[in-house]
Amino acid sequence: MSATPRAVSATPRAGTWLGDAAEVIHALGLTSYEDVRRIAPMLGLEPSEREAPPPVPDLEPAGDSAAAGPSGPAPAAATRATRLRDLSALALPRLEPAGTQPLREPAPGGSALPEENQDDVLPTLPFRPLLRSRTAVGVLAATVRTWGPGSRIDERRAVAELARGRPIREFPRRPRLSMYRGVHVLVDLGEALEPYGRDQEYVVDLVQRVAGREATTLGSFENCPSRGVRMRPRYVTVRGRPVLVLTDLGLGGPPVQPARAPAAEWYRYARGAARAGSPVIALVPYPLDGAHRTLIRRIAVVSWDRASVSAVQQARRRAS
Amino acid sequence: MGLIVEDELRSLLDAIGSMSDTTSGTEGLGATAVPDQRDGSVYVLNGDVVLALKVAVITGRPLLLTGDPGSGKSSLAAYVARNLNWRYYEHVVSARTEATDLLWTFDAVRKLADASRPRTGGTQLHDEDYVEPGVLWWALDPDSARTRGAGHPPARPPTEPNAALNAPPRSAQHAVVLIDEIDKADPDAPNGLLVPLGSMQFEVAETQRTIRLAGTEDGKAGPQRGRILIVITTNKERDLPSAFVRRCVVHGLPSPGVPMLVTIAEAHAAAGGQELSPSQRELCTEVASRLVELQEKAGNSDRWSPGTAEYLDAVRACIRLNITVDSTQWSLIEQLTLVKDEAYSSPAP
Repeated sequence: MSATPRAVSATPRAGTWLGDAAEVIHALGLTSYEDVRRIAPMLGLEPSEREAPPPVPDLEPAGDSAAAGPSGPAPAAATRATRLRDLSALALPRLEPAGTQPLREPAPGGSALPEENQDDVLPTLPFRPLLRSRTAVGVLAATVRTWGPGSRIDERRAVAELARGRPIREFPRRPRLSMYRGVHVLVDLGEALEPYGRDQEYVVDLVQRVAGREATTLGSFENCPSRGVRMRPRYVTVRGRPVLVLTDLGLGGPPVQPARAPAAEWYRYARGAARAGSPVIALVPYPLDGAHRTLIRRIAVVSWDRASVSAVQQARRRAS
Repeated sequence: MGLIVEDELRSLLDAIGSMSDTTSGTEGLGATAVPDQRDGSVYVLNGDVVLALKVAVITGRPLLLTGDPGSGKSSLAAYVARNLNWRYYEHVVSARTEATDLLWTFDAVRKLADASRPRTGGTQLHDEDYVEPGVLWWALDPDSARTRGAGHPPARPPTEPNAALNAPPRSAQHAVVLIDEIDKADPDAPNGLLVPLGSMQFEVAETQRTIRLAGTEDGKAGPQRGRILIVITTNKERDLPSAFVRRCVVHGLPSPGVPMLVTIAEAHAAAGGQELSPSQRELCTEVASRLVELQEKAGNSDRWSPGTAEYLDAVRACIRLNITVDSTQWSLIEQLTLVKDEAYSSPAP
């Protein structure tokens, strides 16, 4: 098969340079489709598989995972399990996506209901995160970044000090926003957050990808971190590390919830974190109308489903 | 200096294609061995890496290498530079690295000190004297870097990185630059490199001087881009900006298996003028098997996983101390070199 740029007919992955491929094919004198296949991934091209079967719909019958049983999860569930490995180690409740669990729990001693057949089960519901995928990385980067000294000397401040006749003991550096302090993510496992388990997992995964796995520490709590935080793998204190809390701040859940943390408790927690130099940013999946005004001056509260970079910046300014 | 013409490109590709696995060096497994020496003296080409190098040279784009620790990401650049007789520069990225650190830095402290010192004859201070060229500047235009961009010999010549290594016969027109562990930096750093890497030119803010690939006109690096090979490594600690990845040739280096690890040990021994005896070869195989076992055990968990460097340490220790995998001391060697501190590497329950 003669190799031409058309042979890699290019399902361009997020925009690539077909001209580069043509240049390489010409320079290396590639003549076989196999050779072209070798260089295509290096240039971000994915050769189209013309013989490939039509794509399988994303929706999977829940019966697949049910049929696999506890010893052998369905492939989709296994992938998900891998993806959620970090959170499962935190002893988060296993909130499987709707459809991967039986909708009806079998009654003790056997079900009175007729046995399910494959036609009765619902497909796995597609996951649509609260954060818009296009802006999620930017939003989370905005939550993680903190002001710190950059590598450049701040000449203006240095000159100003000298002009006042003060000795310079340490050269001031130009401040810059960076993620070098990492981020501490705290996941609320309280009752009100149960419907948002997949969103929490999504955010944790994305934060690790944005801030770096080594720079991300994870913990979980119920209702308010002041009642105890389970850390993994070990407790790490980094002064100034921002704390991203995935919580309802006591705004959600059933009306009667004795364990609900009052605003005062959250306020005390945020004040303690601030004393340690760590700003607290909360992503809240419930309406913020009931949020205490004093609290939002201490915690940068961001509405999870409307989060944008500017919303995060605004909330952080308000809380600073 | 002319453009990279077809013939030159052809001979360059031939040179890359004919790179041998090892050359002589001061590595080795014996008493004079120098571990972690990144002089490019030993490298075992693995997978499609030669093809990836050719693609990067042809397209004039940076080669972004991914792969597990020990897969040879960082040592490839020095090896290519050594084999092709190109100049070699490297910059190890940290969390505080900014894009301009690779281009230039400005020594404001020195300028301040000079400014506060009494000067005779109304001597003026020139900003050029306080500009320190970065690795990309040295790679693009070493002559300009030597004058700090001023065009005339500076009062205080800058320190050229790897000056002895980069002396002739290394080519003055060609260079390899290693930007190591770029994922350690904030996303702003790779984003800040988009223009300099794409256009092969940048402007020094303090002096407003434009630095570009030697012998090219403004914004027209064209085919000459292939004279500079930029190798960037990432441990995938965090995602790189997609705009940056799109502008790179991306290649994942495979993790060496047992046969490859043994070949690597043989290559290191050969570089030190040694040849492995059959029993030493057997030792290398057994240590390699143990390494792979530990790597599989670590898997995707948070456990620390040993790599090729640890493997070579273990082999060196065993050979020098005359220890075999069957001996009672092996477990201690294994603990010290491969497993290291179990309590440190294990996640808390």
